[in-house]
Amino acid sequence: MEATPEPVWKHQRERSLPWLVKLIVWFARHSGRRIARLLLWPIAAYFQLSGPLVRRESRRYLQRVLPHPPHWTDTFKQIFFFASCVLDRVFLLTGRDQEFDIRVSGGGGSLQYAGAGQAAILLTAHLGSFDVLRVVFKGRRKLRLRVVMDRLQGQMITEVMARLNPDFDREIIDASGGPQLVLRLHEALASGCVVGMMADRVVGDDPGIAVNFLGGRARLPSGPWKLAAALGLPVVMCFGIYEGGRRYTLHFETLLPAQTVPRAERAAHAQTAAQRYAERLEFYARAAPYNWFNFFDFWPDEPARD
Amino acid sequence: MMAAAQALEREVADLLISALNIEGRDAESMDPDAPLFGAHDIGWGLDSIDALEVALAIQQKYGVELRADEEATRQAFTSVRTLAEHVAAHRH
Repeated sequence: MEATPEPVWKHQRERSLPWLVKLIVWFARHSGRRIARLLLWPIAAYFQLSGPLVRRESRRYLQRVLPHPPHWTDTFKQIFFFASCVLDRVFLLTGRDQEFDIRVSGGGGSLQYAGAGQAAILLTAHLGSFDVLRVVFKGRRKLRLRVVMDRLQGQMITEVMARLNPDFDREIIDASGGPQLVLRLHEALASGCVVGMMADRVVGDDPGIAVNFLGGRARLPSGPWKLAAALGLPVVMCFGIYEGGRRYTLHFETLLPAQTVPRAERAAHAQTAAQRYAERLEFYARAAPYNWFNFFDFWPDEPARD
Repeated sequence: MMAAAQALEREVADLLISALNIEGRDAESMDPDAPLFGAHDIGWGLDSIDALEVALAIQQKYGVELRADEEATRQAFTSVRTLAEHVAAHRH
């Protein structure tokens, strides 16, 4: 078996300074969203100017997704959207939902599992905001959400956010330790929780599943599909797309029905499911190109085109 | 006592083989100290989803729970011997 290199984004140190993040969060909470959004311009400009890696990876992605050759303003918009979603977490986590216009598309069908208090695996990606999803879960008693998060990656931001909302901290399932993580996931699912996880970044010793994605070969994690097949749980997909201004649209889709898959068929099943997920991810990335927040080489097996 | 422990190790190894549909391996030939995780050539080569299925099979057969985030669970998932010891210590 070929050796799996450490994913590139793991090497990219968090580029934000703790005191600065805390200052921005403090300012945002006291000034309100409209004023705080003025900060997005210098923040986005800083990341655009100081990050050659970010610029390069943004351009590589945008070349694949945009109908026109990417301009530096496209990269700026992508960074600006990213900064917007991070800033909005402050307001979403402190319960200031009235700041936003959040719409739900396709929710009825896919949330039926959750509505019945039935466990489901909820897959998302670094596309748009995951935090708007909490708004849907809030105020629905039967609907309980747990989120898998790597506390080591992005630790500082997670800590700051967790302090804003203790409920957020309680619903995190720590992504460390392979077998322990799977047991944790099972315990949450067995108690009827919906478990949300990012399904676009390969971590640890997972060789991943190669899929066609935006005209190239990319790798997606294999864990979610194995878990769903072993436990016979439905898989629902959700993307909280930022539309600009104060509007978000949540898109729900059922990817797999509840179904146990015999071990012998699991590899083929995972391949088919991961490819289907990649196609839906591609659909939403094309529809909302600036919501893509994976600023690393997503197609490492492809020769660079620039 | 020794014989009972050995018999349980055999049983647990059989459980692993049937729960995970492992072919070309029999419980008798496996070293009870072989690592459960890691490379196939020296051990069982289980992945974390396999571990979950083993935990569920053990719970079903012996009524013994392997709970996440407990040191006992981490230790139990070392080898067939440690799994069998965990079962022996916790089953009623």
